Amino acid sequence: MSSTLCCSFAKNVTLRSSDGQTFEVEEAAAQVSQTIKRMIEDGCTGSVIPVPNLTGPVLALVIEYFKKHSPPSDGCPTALLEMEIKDWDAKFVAVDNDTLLDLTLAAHYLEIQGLLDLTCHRVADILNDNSVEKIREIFHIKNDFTPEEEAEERSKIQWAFE
Amino acid sequence: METTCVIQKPQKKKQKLNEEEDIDGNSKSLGNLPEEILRHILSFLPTKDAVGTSLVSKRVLCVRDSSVINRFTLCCDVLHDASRVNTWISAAVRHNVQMLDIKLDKFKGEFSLPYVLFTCKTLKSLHLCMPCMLKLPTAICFSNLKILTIKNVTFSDECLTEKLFSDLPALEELQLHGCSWGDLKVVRISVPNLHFLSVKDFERPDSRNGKGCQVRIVGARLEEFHYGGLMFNEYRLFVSFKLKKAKIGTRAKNTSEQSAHRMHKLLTRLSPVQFLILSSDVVKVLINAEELLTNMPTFNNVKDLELNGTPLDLDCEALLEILQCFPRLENLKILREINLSSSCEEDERILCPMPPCFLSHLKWIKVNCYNGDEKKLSVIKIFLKKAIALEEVVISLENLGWNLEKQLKACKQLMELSRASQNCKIVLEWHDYSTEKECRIVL
Repeated sequence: MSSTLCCSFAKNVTLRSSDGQTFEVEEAAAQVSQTIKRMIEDGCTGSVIPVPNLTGPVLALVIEYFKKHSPPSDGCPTALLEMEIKDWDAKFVAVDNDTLLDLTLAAHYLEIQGLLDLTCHRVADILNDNSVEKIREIFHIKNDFTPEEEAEERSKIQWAFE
Repeated sequence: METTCVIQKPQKKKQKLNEEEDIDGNSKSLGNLPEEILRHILSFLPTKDAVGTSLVSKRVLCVRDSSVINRFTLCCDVLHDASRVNTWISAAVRHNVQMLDIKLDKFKGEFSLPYVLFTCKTLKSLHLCMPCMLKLPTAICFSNLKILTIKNVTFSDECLTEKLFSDLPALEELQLHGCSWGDLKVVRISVPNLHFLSVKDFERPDSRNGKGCQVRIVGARLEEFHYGGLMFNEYRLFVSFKLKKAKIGTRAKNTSEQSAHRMHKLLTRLSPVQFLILSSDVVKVLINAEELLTNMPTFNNVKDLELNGTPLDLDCEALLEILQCFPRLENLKILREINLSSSCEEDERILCPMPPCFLSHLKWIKVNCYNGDEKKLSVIKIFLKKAIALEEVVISLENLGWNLEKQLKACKQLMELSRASQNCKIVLEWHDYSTEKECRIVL
């Protein structure tokens, strides 16, 4: 790892998760998050930036995303690079469902539009592939309809199940 | 890029298992996600799946029902399902739709759109394509509509049609394509913020009203106007000097004295423009009333002119007449091929009287579909000989039929031509299929 090289060129910031873990990341990369970008602009860079809504494991994942999606230093991204990133993205969200929800919330808190689109799309794909009952199981949703209510709602939209 | 991780990467999977086992009230449940996220997730699902999926819990159902529809597209045959079609449209309006595309076909009997549509406050863009009579309600108010496209609709009531086109305070883009004005005689379209208007009018109206309709267009902020049609109706522009760009397309068929006069009037109203795209048939339409050709409007602001339509002949009265109208023309682009029909290129008749721009402003000419034959070479020869301020002639080669030998010959021929403007460059452009690249050489 060429940390000395890195330090001479780029400024780093330190992020702290809800459970007290700290991570050092290049400032330019962290600014993929609009929330962090604002904090940096407001002058919070001197000390550690707290990220109280994310646990260490989730923040670690988000930082991986930052690194992949930070603006390239050598100008505009090429089509090849874009394809590679797309590929990487697909693998990145191929995680267990709980982690997927964690990442979705993290993207929301940290205002990372690209990651939010990516995770929501992935959730939508899972919803698309499963029945209502299975979805409840996968994503821990309690069925709060009475059987009568559910039957009534179903009859209203019968065409969607045909 | 390098990042230093101060604390070792945690092993997430193992931690996860004992973290959340309970299902109810668990913050990890999809059902507890913030409303915006749920809405965002549902927006990635096709409507049908979003509707079905939302039955997982009351909260998700509630999010679905309260959601704003960003874009809704309805494309179907109406047949006997008029009421169902309207249920869909009303539902979209109820969910504060912002962009609505309605494409309907195959009507059985009468059809009218739900009245709630015409007072929808959230609608920003409306595309309506339906080959039938549009019945308008008395209450029309699209207060936020920015883009309106109406295709193949027949308008019926003069008063209500005028009301539709005069109560559009936010409208910036209007397209009327293939619409029929029916028996209407005069319609006024008055839109204060309109930037762009496009009218396509190629179908002969089937009304008893043989003169067509006079459509008066009032738009103080109009910047761009497109017309494509055969002048069955008259479009009268009342616009300001803001008009910058215009495109007029027509075909020289079924032309009459009436269409000639209408075309002439339309062109006269376009005189403030700076950029004009004209179909070469415009002049063939005007020829129906010959006195008009000697009384053409002058376009003093036009620096860029594009000619399209049918292939052109440099030795034709019509082209000469067009070129006379642009005294300050700097850039001339000829999109279709241009030939010289007369055999003798020395003939002084060609480009005589010389259009004033050839003696002063014209500095760039582009011709397309060059194949190196004698007729096309003569055209280039005349341009180079007569345009004294020319800086560059761009010759775009026809796509097929070239080989290295032929190309070298063409280059040689072009380089030998005498140029009235000593500094004029000749540029050859072509698409190389083997490398899929645009090529360009300067002679």
